[in-house]
Amino acid sequence: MGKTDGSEQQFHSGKELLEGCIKKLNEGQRGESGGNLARYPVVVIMMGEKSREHMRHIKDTLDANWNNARFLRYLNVVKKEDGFKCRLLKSAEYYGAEEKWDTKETDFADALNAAIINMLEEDEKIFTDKSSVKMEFVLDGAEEDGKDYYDLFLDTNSQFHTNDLKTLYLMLDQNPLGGRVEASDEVLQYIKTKKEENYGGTIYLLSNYLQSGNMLGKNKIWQNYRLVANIILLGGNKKGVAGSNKNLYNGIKTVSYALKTKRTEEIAVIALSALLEEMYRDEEQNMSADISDKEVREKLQISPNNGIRFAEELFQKKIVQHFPDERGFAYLPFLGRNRDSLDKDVKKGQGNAMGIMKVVDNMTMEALSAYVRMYFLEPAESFWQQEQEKEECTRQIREILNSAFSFMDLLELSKKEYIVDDIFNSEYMIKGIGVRDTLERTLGAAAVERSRKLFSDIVKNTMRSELLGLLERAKKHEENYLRCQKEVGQEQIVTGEESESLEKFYTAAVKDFVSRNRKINAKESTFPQVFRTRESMEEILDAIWEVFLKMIREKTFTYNFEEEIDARMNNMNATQRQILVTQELQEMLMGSIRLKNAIDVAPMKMGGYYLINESAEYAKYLANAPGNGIDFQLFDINRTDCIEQIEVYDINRPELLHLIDFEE
Amino acid sequence: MKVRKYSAEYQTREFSLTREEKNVQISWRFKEGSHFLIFVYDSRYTFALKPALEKATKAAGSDENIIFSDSRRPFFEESGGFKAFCCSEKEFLSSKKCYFLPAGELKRGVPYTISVYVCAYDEGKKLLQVIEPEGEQNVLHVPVMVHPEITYKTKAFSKQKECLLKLPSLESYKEGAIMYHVDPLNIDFPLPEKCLGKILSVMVPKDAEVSVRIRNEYREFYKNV
Repeated sequence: MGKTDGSEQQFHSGKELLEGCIKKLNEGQRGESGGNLARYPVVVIMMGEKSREHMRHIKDTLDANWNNARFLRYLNVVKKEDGFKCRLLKSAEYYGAEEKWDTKETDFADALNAAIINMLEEDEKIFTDKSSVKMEFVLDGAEEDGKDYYDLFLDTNSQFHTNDLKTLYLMLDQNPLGGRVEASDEVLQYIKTKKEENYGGTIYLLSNYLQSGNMLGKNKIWQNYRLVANIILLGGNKKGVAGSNKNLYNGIKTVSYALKTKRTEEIAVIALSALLEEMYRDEEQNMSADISDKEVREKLQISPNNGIRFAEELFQKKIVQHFPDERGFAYLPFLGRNRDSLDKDVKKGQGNAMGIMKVVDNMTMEALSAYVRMYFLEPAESFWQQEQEKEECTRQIREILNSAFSFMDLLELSKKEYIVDDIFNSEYMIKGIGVRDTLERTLGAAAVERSRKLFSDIVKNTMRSELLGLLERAKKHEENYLRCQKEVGQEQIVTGEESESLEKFYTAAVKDFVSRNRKINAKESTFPQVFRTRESMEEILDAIWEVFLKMIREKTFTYNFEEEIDARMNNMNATQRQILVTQELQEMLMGSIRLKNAIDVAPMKMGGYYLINESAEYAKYLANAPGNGIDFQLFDINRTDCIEQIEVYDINRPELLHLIDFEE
Repeated sequence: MKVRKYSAEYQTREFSLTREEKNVQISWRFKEGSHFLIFVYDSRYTFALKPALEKATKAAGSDENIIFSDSRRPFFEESGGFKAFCCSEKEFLSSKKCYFLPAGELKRGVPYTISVYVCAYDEGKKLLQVIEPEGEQNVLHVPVMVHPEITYKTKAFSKQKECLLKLPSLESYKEGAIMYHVDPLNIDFPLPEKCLGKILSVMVPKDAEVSVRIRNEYREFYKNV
C-alpha cells in the first residue's frame, strides 16, 4: 500500500499505528547531521539473547549521532552446546519487523575478527584512528551462563596489533522475581574475583534499580541502553572531550543519568488520541441527520410511479433494443374468430392491458406466453447471466450507494433496517398499463411491462443486497475505528502537571487543525478518506495515518525542545527557562545512579557530561557557564528534542558490591 | 467394469445411423477393441458413464456375464434411464461392421442419444475395461422427426391469407422447442405443448410463407422434416 511518506509499513492495530506515529514524530526531531564521527572502529557485541532485544536503542542513538555509524559492526553471541556462536547484524528495521540478523552462525572469534577486518579495510576517511579498536560488550545480568559470557569477555582479544579498548556493560537486573537478582549477583561476585586481570577491561554496572529506589520497568529500561550508546559516543568521538576520556575507562564504574526530553511519545499519544476524537466528532456534527424513508428513496432515486431510476435507464439502454416489432403479435395462432371481438373491445378501450393479455393467452393456447417469454423475458434474464454485465452493474450500484450515503447516514440507517425492508419490499409502477389503440400495441405494451418488472426486480434485489452489505461494512468500520481509538487511549496516562499541560496544549492544536480543514458551507466530510466505508482495519488505519502525517507537518509539531517549552509555558524568558531546565535535570539526576547496592559503596564522581544540541539556547548557556571544561563537558548531539546529563562514578571498593543481603 | 484413460487406438470414428423398418443400423470404424458397449437413452436424461457402469456391473454380476450376453437385448435396463448393450468385435465384424438395434428399442416421439464405448477385455483379470472417448465423437443423437402439416386458405380481395398449421403431439415435449417462422417478417413463434396436435390458424400477409423450425438448443431432440 503506497503511503505519502513512502513507507511500506502496514498497521494492523491502533497500537501499531501509534508506534508509527511516535517514530514519525521522533524522525522530525532529528536535526541536521552534525560533525560527529566515530574515531575508532567499533564492534558492539550483544551477549546472549536478553540484551539482544534492546539493541535497537543502542543502534538508534549511534546512528543518529555518528555520521559513519553505518560502518560499525554489531554481533550477537550466544552460548550453544558446541561453544559460542555468533551472528552478524545485516540491517535493522523496527516497528513490527525484526532486526535482520545473518542466518549464518560462526565461531565468535572468527566473527569478531571478520568484523574488525571489515572496518580496518574501510577508507581512511571513515575511521581516522585505526590504532585502536573499541569492543563494546553488552550483557544482561540475568542471562543464563552469565559467568561464561564474562569469561568470554575476559579472554577476547583481536588478532590484530591494535590497542583493544574493551568495555563490558553489565545490565544488572535487580528484580527479585524469577531468580534475576540472584543471577546478576552471581556474575557480579565472579567479576570481583578477576581484579588481578584488571577485570578484562572497563566494566559499567547499569542496574534497573536506581539509588533512589525507582525501578526501571519494561517501558523505561531502554534508557539504560541509550546510556550505553551515550558512553560509547563520549568515549569514541572524533572531536571534543578527548582529555576527559580517561574518566570513562578502566575499572568498575556506574553512572547517574538524567534525560530531559521533549515528550515526543506522549505528544504522539495525545495528538493521535485527540485527532481520532475530533475527526469523529466533526463527522458526526457535519454529516449526520435523522434519516427517513423518504430521504432514502430520494438517495436511491426510487419512486412509486417511476420505479428505480438506475434500473429503468439500464433497461432502456440494454434490453429494449432486443424487443421485436409489436406487429408480430398479429401472427399468433388465434383459436377461431374470437380475435375480431377482441379487436372491438380494444378499440372501445375496455379493460386493461394485462387483462387483455390473459384473455389472448387463453385464445392462443399459451402461445402468447411462449412468445413473450422468448422475446421479452429471456433477454432481461440473460443479461444478468453475463458475468461482465453483472459485475459492471453491481459496480455502478455500489458507486450510487457510496456517493449517496455518508458514513453517518449508513450508521443511522443500520439502526433502521426496517426502512430498507420497506423500500425493497414495495412494488413500483403498479398503476397498470392502459389499453392502446390496437391489440398489437396493447399486447406489446403489456409484454414490455412484464419484462421491465422482471428486470427491475433483479436490480432491486441486487441493490438491496449491496446496501445491506454496505450497512454491515459501515458498522464494522465504526467498530474498527472505535477499537483503534480505545487502543490508542489505553496508552495515554496523564501524570502530573506537565502531562496536563501537554494534553491541554496539543489537544487544542489538534482541534485547530481539524477546524481549519473543515469545508465551509458544504455538507461534505472533512476527512472523506477516513470515513469512506471500508472493509478492513488496515485500510482505516492507513487513512488515519495520512491525516496524522498532514497534521504533524504543522509548525506546532516540529518544535525543538526549547521551542516546545516556550509555546506551552506561555513564552517564558531565557533565564526562566534555564532555571527550569537546570532544576529539572538536578531533580532527575539525584538518586539516578544505576546501582542499588546492599550497602553504600560510596562511588566517586569522575566526570560529568551534557549531551545537547549545540544550537540549543541551553547549550550556549552551559558553554558560558563557569564549570564548563572543569565540572562538566559538553557533547553536541544531533537530536533537538532532549538534554541529557551523565555523571560517571568509579567504584573503588568493589569488594563491597552485593546486590542481595549477605552475612559477612 | 472399469474406466481406462483415453487411448487413441481405442476410439470410434465415422459414427453413423440408418433407420430401417425393423432395425436401427449403427455403424462405426475403429482400430482396436474386443467389445463395444452401446448405451441408449432419452436425450433429456442426464447420462454419466461411471455411475452407469457401476449400476450395470452390479446388475450383471460379473463382466463375463456382460460379454456373453445377447447383443440384441439390453444386459441392463434402468427404468426412466438408460439401456446398455454389449457387442463383441467378432460379432460386429461379422455383421459387416454394423450393429443392429431392434427398432422397438426406440419409441416414437422420444428423442434418443446413442453412445458407443470401445472396450478391452482382460482375460486374466476377467475385467472389461471401458476406454474414455475423445470429446463426443462416440455420441449420436436420434431426434424426433417432426412432420408439420401446413396449408393455406386465401380469400378473394383480402391482403391476408389463413395459414393452417398442425404439429403432432409429442411426449414430454420441451416447451417452445418447435417454432413456426413467418417470412418475410422474420420472426419465430415458439409453440407451447397446448398447441401441438391441434390445427392452428395464423393470419399472415398474402405473400407470406410459414415454415417450421427447431430452436437451436433443442436440435438434438427434434428435427423438422
